[in-house]
This record gives sequence, structure tokens and C-alpha cells, in this order.
Amino acid sequence: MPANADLSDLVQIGVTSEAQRDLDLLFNSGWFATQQDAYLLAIAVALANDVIATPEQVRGTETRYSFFGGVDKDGKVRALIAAFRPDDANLPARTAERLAHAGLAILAQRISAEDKLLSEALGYDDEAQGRGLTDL
Amino acid sequence: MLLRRIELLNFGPFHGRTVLDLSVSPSSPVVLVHGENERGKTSLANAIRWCLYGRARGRAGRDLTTFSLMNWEALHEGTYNMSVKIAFEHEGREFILTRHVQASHRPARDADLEKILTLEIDGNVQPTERVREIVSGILHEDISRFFLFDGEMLGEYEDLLNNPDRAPAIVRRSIEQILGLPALELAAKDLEELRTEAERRQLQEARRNNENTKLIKDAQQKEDELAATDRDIAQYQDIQRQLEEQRSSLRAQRDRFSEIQTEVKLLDEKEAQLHEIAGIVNEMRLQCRIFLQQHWWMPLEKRIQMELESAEKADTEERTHMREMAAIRQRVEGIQKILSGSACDLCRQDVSPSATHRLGADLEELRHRLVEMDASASRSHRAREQLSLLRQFAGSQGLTELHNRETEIRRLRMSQDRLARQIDEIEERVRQHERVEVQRIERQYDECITQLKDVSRSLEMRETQRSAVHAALERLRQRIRGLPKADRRLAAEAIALDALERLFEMGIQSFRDEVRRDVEIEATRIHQSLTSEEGYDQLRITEQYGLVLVNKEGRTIHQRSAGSEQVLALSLIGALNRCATREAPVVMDTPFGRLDVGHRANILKFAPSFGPQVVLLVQSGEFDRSRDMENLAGKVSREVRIQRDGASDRSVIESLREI
Repeated sequence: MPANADLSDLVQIGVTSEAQRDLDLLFNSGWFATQQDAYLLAIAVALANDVIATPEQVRGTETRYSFFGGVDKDGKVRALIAAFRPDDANLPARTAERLAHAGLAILAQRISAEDKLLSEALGYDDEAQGRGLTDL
Repeated sequence: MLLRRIELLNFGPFHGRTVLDLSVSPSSPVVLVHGENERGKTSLANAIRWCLYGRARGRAGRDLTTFSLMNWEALHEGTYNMSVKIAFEHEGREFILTRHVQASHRPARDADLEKILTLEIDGNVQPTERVREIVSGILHEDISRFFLFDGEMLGEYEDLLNNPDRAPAIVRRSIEQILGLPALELAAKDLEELRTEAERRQLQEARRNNENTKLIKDAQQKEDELAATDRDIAQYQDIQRQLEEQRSSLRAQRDRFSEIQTEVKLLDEKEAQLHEIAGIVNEMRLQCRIFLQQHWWMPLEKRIQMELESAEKADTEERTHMREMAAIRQRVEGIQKILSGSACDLCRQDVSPSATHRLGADLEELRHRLVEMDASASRSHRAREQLSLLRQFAGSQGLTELHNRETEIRRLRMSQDRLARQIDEIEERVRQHERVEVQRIERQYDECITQLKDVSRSLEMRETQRSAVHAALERLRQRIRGLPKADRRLAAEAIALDALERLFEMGIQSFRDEVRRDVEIEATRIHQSLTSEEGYDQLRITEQYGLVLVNKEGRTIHQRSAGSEQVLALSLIGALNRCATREAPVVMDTPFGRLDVGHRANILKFAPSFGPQVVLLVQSGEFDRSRDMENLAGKVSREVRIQRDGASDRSVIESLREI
């Protein structure tokens, strides 16, 4: 039985004030149509890097988005959590929120690096990707 | 008229009192004034113009305010006055003309200035109210353009080359004035008025006698109609003249901007490119945002791909396992059946105890393998689950696509930066206000041309209408003159005046043709000495004083360079000067700008014969002292240089050579 089995999942998820600063930074980079898009991307970044914020790190979160009707209305977030974090699959909204916080921190740091493309910040490796394409 | 001296006080860049001796000897009529741009050459020409007529020309032919001519340093020091004094000789008498402005407090516009104009002739002060009239009698402002001109004014004469059948009214009027035609035309106009008056009296007389009232009424109606048409024509002519003046001024401004027009065009092109690229970048960024929305899991693509590959591999292995397990189960069932029946399924023979023992061992081993294989079933379930979860993300290459798009945006951004730098460089050369000015002038010029065409059409219609009314009136008048009770004396007066008017008109036409021929011969002669190009035969002057260049085969030459047009304009000015009814100094401000070395040398050689006194204001770009002085050999009485006074902005005149 998972450690979080006694917890119920969330309907609304959000950001702490610190994560909001990261989110603002990302949104102001001009790459996103909405802050929710940046939030969603941060979830993927955290999953890709296999990192997640601790429950303590997301304490004091201010709710911003509906998880099931907004952030994950097509169920893709749940699918990815189930695929890569099966132990947390029963609490997808809570997990997504913690992933988003970890991902936002990574992205904010990478995107601040001078002259870095977003794709590079997201892990695009020119040489590796190029090789991959050739292989295809 | 010969200039002796000019004295400036706080005029333009000349701070304090500056005196320039301009007297020349008959054999050396040239005064050469050197000066770089912004040093005060044009101010010197303007000082003469302002002193004579109270007017100064700015860039593009605009009138400058008097206040703008005042020396700024003097104003800053609290000296609120400016004056120009010209001493000249005319018809054996000595003149001193002084124009002075002053203010009791720091002036900010012309209205703050008190203006004083004085003229002394042979030491006698003339009444102020007569000064303007006396100056006009010596050198009328309308004809000053033949004596006091710059490169921009030459442009007005170039109009005569470009539109030989339609010279601008202002130039045509000036040409006729310098040739003395207006006096004759005024006399013809007087005769026309006298004849009209006589005919009117004749009409009144007939009305008094109650003769053929219908005829008289018709004539009266036609007279009214004619008068109204004349008023319309005068009004249209006035508008046409104003528009032609405006066109000349705008053209001069366009010429001044010709250098930066190319830059402005380039600037427009670069800005359009920049705008276009900015649009593409914005569109691409927008597409990227949408793309990010649709492929937000792109950081996970590699992991998803690996996971899918691994799950697919596990699934394939599992399928092999399943097949193996089915085969084992079948085998287990077979063994169990043999062991329970003690006979072989196939041959029905009894199974030996040793075989039974061996089969028992096989069965045990097979059952053990089945248990092992069952344990891996949970792994395979997980693999299938992963496949069902991740298949929807399969094949996505969002990160590579995003990278390609970003690289393209980065490339476009670099193009934008490069264009922005180029635009900055061009803008440094073309100040923003000048650019707006160029566009404004282009627009105004086009509007002016359109208006001019409309007015010309209306004028032609009115003139046709006038001819018809005039002819009808003439017929009616003849019939009135033949009425039984007509006053024979009045009729005779009208007929005589009519004949005189026709005679005068013929005389004017004949005189006009004669002076035009004189100007034509003189202009051709001058042009031949000025031009360095072969093949030209003569300069023909049309009835409208347009200039036509004809080659040796009698064909009109239409293709001319800007330089050769300037030479033609100078030839006309020289010819008009020589045929003029009066003599005056010629002051040429920066006149050689568009000429090549050959033409410049020719004009310099000819310049001393432009008039009894020739003041050449030149800059180093158009006059190289070491190269060009020999072309003026022995003809220069005075040579001065206007230069900056030390580190200040003041200009001072340094004498280089005197008689």
C-alpha cells in the first residue's frame, strides 16, 4: 500500500509564492500563451528529471487551477504520472502540483541562463538529437 | 550698379562689425570668396539681398525671418541690433544703403524689431518713403534673380529646359521684365482700356437714343459676360502663378533633398524588411506557443520513447513466454494422462517402471518451470499497462521541432539586429525630421502638380469661352456702329484706338521676337564657350522662353545630365544679363555643385564676362584653389576667405589677395 494511501486527492492545485515568482519569470519570457502552459511544461520537466517537491515544499500553496477540468482535462498528466510515478498514481493532482513546483524551479534557473534556447533548457541536446534523427 | 563695400553688424555668423571691400577694376571684375559649408557664404549673399529688399532666402528658397538672421552670440551678450550697409556706384553717383534693426529688449520674433532703412546719394540722405522706389528703379527685386542667385535658383531656369512650351510664370515675367517688355505691355493694356471705354460710351449713347434696344441689350449682356470671364481668367492666372511659385519652391526643396532621398528610400526598404521580419517572428512565436500547448510533454519524449521500447520488448518476450507456457501445459497434461493410465497414449503399450519414474521427474520439472513463468506474468502486465498509457505520446518529436523553430527565430532575430544597426547608421545620416520633410515635400509637390493641371485646364476653357464672347461682342459693336443715329466721332475714336491697340500688339510681338532672337544668339554663343560636350549647335528660345537645345542636324536634344542643364541655365542667365536694359553685379552662391571638371573650368573662364562685377562664393568641394585659379587668370580683383574665428562659432573674413 502506498505511503500516501490515507490522503485524499485535490481538485484545485496551485503554486507557492516562490513558485509563482518562477512562473512569472517563465511567462514573461514570452514563450507561453498562458501561465497554465508553463505550469504544465514544468510537470513534464520534473518527470523527465525524476524530481519532485516534498509535501513540505508545497505547503502554503495558493490554488490557481482546476486539475481535472483544466490542467489535465485530457488525462495526459494522469497517464504520465501513472507511467513514471505509479506509486503516486492514486493522487495525480497532488503529485502534479509537487512535480510542477520542482519543474518550475529547474526551468526558471535554466531559462535565466543567457542566450539559452527554450528547447535547450528543456533538455534538447543538439548532438544527441542530431544523431537520433540520422538514425531514423 | 557696382558694389563698393559691404559692412555687416551682427549679421548671421558674423559677430560684431565685419567689412568686405568689393570694389573691382574693369579688367579684373571677379571677387572670389572662399568658405566651407556653414561658414557664412550664403549669409553674405543674403546680406546683400536683405539690405536691398528686406528679404533673405533660406534653404529651399523659403524667406527667412529677420530675427533668424541676427547673430546669436550678440543676442546672448545683450546686443540687440543688426545692420547691413552697402556702398555702391550707379550711373556715376555714390549710394550708401543701410538697413538696420534694433530692439529695446531681447527680441524673440520680427515684431519685436524696430526697422530703419536709410539711403544716401552722394552724401544726401533721401526721404525714407522714397528709398524702396529708388532701389527698385536701380535693380528691381523681380529681376534680382538674374544677378543674385544660387544653385537652387538655377533650378528654376532648368524648368525652362524641361518644359520649353510652358515656362513658369514667375521666370517668364522676370525675363520679360529684364528685357523691358512690361512697359510696352502696359501701354498696350492702356490702349485696350481706352478702346473699351470708347465702345462703352458708344453703347451708352446708343441706349440714350433708344436705338435697337435688343441689339444694345445683347451687347450689354456680352460685355458683362466678357467682364465676368476676364475676372475668372485673372483669378485663375493668379492661382496659376501662385502654384507655379509653389512648384518652383518645392522643386528646389526636392533638389536639396535629392541626396538624402536615396537614403530615405533605403531606410524605407530596410524598415519594411524589419517590419516584415518582425511579423514573421511574431507569427512564429505565436505558433511556438500553440505548439508548446500541444506538445507540453516534450521534455519527457526521450524517456517515453525508452519506456515504450522497453515495454514493447517486455511484451514481445511475454508473448513468447505465453506460447512456451501453453506448450509446457500441454506436455504436463500428456504426462499426467500416461501416468494415470500406465499406458502410452499413442502405442497403448504398458509404461515400464523406469519410464514412469523418468516421466514423473519430467513432470516435476515442467511444473516448476510453469511456476517460474507465472511469476513473470505480473511484469508483463505492467509492460502492457505502460504501453497503453504511453502509446498516445509515441512518435512525438516536439523538442526537435521546437528547436528547429527556435533556431529559425534566432536566425531571423540576427537579421533583425543587423537591419536595426543598418537603420541606425542610415538614420544618423538622415535626421528624422528631414525624412518626414522629404515625404511631406514629395506629397505637396504631387498635389501642386495636380492642382496646376486642373487650373490650366480651367484657364484654357475660360480663354476659349472669352474668345467666343469677344468675337460675338465685336460683331454686335460693328452693327451698333452702323446704326443710323450712331455718334460718328465716338465710332471713329473706338476704331482708331482698336487699330492702335493692334499696332502696339504687333510691335510688342515684333520686339519680343527681336529680343528673344538676341538672347538666343547670345545664349548660344555663351553655351558654346561653356560646354565641353561636342555636337550641340544652338540654343533655341521658344515663345514661352523655354530653352531647346538643338544639335548640328537640327534635332532637339532631350537627354541631358544635371550638369549640362546647369550649364544651359547659366548660358541663359548670361545672355539675359547681356541683353538686359540695366547692368548689375552678379553674385553666384555655390554655383558649381553639379558640374564636372571640364564644365567648371569653362564656366570659370567665362565667369568674368557675366557682368561688370562678379562675386563668386565657393567652397573647396567645387573650387580647388591650386587647380581652378588659373581659369580666372588675371581676372580676380579680390580674394577672401570666410573662416571660423578660433574655437568660437563666429565667422571672420580674411583677405587673401587685393588689387
